[in-house]
Amino acid sequence: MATTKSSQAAIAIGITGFALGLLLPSAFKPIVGSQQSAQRDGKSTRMTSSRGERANRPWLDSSMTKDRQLAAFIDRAAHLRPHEWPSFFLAHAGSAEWSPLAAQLWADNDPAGFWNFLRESDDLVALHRWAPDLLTTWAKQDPDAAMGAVVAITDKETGDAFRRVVIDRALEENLEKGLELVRRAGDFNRFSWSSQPWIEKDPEAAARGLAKLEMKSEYGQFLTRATQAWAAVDPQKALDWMVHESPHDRLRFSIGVLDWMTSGFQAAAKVDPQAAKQAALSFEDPDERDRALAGVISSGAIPASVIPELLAGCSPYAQSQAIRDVIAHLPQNTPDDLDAAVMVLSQGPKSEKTLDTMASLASRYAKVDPSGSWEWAASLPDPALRRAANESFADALQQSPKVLADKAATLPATELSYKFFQNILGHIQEDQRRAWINQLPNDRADWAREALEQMKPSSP
Amino acid sequence: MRKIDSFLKKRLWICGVAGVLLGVAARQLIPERAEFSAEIGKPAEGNARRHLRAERNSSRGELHAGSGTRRLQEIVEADAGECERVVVEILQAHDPSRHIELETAFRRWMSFEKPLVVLERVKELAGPPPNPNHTDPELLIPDWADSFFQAWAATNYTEAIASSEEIKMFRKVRLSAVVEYRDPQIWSYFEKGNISLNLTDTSQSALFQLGYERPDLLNSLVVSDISPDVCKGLVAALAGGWAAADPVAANAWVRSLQLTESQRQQAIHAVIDQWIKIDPDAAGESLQDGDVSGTDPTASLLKNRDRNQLRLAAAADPFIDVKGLYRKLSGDHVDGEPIQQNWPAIEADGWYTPDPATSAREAEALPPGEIRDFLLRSIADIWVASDPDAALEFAQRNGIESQHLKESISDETMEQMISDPAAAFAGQAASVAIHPGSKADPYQIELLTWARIDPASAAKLALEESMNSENGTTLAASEFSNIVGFSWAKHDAGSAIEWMETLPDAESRAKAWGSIRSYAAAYDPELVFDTSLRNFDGEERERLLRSSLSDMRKSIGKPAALAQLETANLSEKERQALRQYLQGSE
Repeated sequence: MATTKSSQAAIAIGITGFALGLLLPSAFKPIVGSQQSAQRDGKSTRMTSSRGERANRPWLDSSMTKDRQLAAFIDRAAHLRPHEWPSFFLAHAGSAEWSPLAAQLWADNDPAGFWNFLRESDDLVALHRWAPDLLTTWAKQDPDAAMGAVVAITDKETGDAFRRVVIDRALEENLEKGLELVRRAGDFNRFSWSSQPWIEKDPEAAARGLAKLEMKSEYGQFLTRATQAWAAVDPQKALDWMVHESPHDRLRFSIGVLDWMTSGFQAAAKVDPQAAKQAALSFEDPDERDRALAGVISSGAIPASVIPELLAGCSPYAQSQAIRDVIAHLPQNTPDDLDAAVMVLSQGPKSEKTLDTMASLASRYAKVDPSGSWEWAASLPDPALRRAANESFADALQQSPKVLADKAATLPATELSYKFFQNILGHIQEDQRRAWINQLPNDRADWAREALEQMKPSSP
Repeated sequence: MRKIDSFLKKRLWICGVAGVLLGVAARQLIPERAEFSAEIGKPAEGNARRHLRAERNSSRGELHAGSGTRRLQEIVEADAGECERVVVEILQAHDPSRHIELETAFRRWMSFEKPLVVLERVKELAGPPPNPNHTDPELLIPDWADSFFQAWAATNYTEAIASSEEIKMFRKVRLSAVVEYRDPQIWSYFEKGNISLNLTDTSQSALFQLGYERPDLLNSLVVSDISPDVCKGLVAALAGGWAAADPVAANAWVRSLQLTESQRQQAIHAVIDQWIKIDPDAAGESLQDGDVSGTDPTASLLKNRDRNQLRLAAAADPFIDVKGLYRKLSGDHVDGEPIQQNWPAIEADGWYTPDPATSAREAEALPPGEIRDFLLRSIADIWVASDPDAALEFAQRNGIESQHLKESISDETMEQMISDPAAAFAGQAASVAIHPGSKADPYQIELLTWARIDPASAAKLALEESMNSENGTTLAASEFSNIVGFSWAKHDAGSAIEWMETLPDAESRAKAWGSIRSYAAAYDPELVFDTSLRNFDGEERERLLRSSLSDMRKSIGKPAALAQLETANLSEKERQALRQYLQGSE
């Protein structure tokens, strides 16, 4: 009996001891609130972290060197189990020093867990803050899983941004996989076509892969850069592909942008102009021939004597696109060079682009023959070109206000404009503008005053 | 007996001590509960809730350090030379996704050498910045500058801020650190003279976060101390962040500031952009006349809340699925009121599914009724962009009609549109649904391609179609303008004018001229005056001449318009009337 009682007592004492053992470490724990304020206040409160904190989070121990703190932080993260991440992350979310590193480490170790945490947080600010880097890391590790996560987003704006992050990273890692994800991506309402390193890595593979995408895919527009890059390194192969194998139907979706056919032929012509010209003329379809010829003409590698004939075979659209590039590649070192350039320009179609090109030619003339500039402008073939040249000289010649006042008073009114006066006034100090205007004849002075008014910002 | 007692006592002691030891050991195996409540951020209740959910949902898997973590572990044990090699390798990879790795390498390197010494070495290693010809040194920011500065700030914030004062590449980069570290002098870094250009995206993001987490700090901001350009972005970012947590308070704060009109509009826009996610009705009611520009998309959304219910639901919950939408609409909808939306999400933002087939199945399983039909239609309108045939079949199967759904053009018709467009497009205007706003409509694309390649033929057909109202094939005005104006006159005003002048009757000429005029005026307004003078009579001519003089006056100036008028081939009476018009049109 005594033995039984003593056994029961031993068991009871053992259980009590066990309970005490469980509770004992908590008695030495720091106060939770102090951790929170420590994280909020960043570096200053880290200095006052308790012994318990230091033991538990050695990276807060100010007696350690910074690099040892960093090593301790990363080491702790490397040993966290998935269920421990939310509290670890939240404990550092307010720290400028640790939060980006904590986010990166969580993304690296358990991207799905981090994503679920953000998704279920009901915190849109946190989602937008952490998801892009998380998705980048996840797409490197497991692009299918990352894509699976972002296609569940049903807000168009958020979805556009996050799908793009995943696909762009996947394309960097593995072209084929990236293109597979593009097919799952759906539609984008906003898209930028800035340069993509994955195209430069293997432009031929990129071109061939992009060409197989759905016609309406926004990613299909990267074909422009891919054909350009490919034709620059292997023009003959790229030309053969564009003439015989490329998806010509896709061209129809390239209205209003520099299409892949034009950019591909332009790049090929820079390396092998004769082959590019022959390939362009081999197209029977007028649309394809038009785009290819525009590329060849705008390459700057075609002799000037051949250009009018090629231009005549192009649509007005292609002509207006190509002529500026043609002129940019012509020599512009003497007045005769610039006369020849104006001749080419005036033979082309009349459009707003023509005036832009005229302005840049005049700007060049101001450097080549400053003293003959105004006279040259007067010799131009129509008033719109003369006006564009005068506007350009008012800015580029940098003549004295007195000389410019003389020009403003004597040039025909049909060859002046608000912009002419504004270009002059832009070079005169603000407090001297009124005096400059007052020396002009009355009608020109009124004109210049209106121009000055227009220069003022519309809102305070 | 005493022996027995002593034995029992010993036994009890042993049990007690063993129990304590076992308890301590067991405690070490239990997850660190104390950390769970040490939450930063807000709202506290929400954090607790989401934390518990996250804890529940996280799998209690095995330990596995990711490859990125292992790389970071190697970096923090590297010597200075190895740090340099890691930095060079990352810089050469041009991979922005490795910014944390780069920052960690810098942090480790700075434990061996002073940050300014490291900086000079990195400059040598990285070479000149990407745009060395840029004249403004504040814009010469190498892509490693942000990681470097973050590392420096983490190593010694005070030194980093003080020493970087005169280092141009850090003048903007360091602003985000100033905000993130909650520097007590935070606003002084944004004051006049410190920075003169717009804020970087990173800084805006940091300011947004500050407004979200610490709105109490915003009250010490004095906007008059900050240059107008910087102030605009600064206040908007802060206000947006605050509004994400408390839109009412953020709205009141913005209205209490002395801002210019454009600054206030941008800040109010930032507030309502967040407010619509929380309480669109209250956001709509808060708007006052002049708060935002007339074209502000969010304001327009709020004014038409009843037609943008899907969009508002998706803005509030970016993961809302078909069932969620059904529940939301069922709660908000008043029976008998039609449910409509302005545009599908492929045209204007809103609720969008990249997987319409799955969403369609989910919607078909919903209880029948007006809400289900609305959702079916919305899905069909999205689906039509990627698979028009499937979308149409789905809509027909469910008895759904929508103006955005249209039959695919057959391969034969497509072939004909390419090989013989004049025949293919004749009479097509009424039989093929045309939606100018919709993306990549094959009919429109082929028509515009033809208009580009053979503008005279396309314009001739467009004119015939648009003038032929008897058989109902009237071409939309925008379509005609696209063909004659955008596809032709914009690129070659001279040829388009020559074509217009060949048209036999004044009505046709007037129609064509209406689409050519503005593009011709962009090249030369006098050309427009002369062309109007040559080709029209009577009241039409007077109207056109007045219009072109007025345009000329606005675009180049009145003296040029008067000079044109004086040399034009006009009767003195007509000249006098136009002169009076021009003088009085100011």
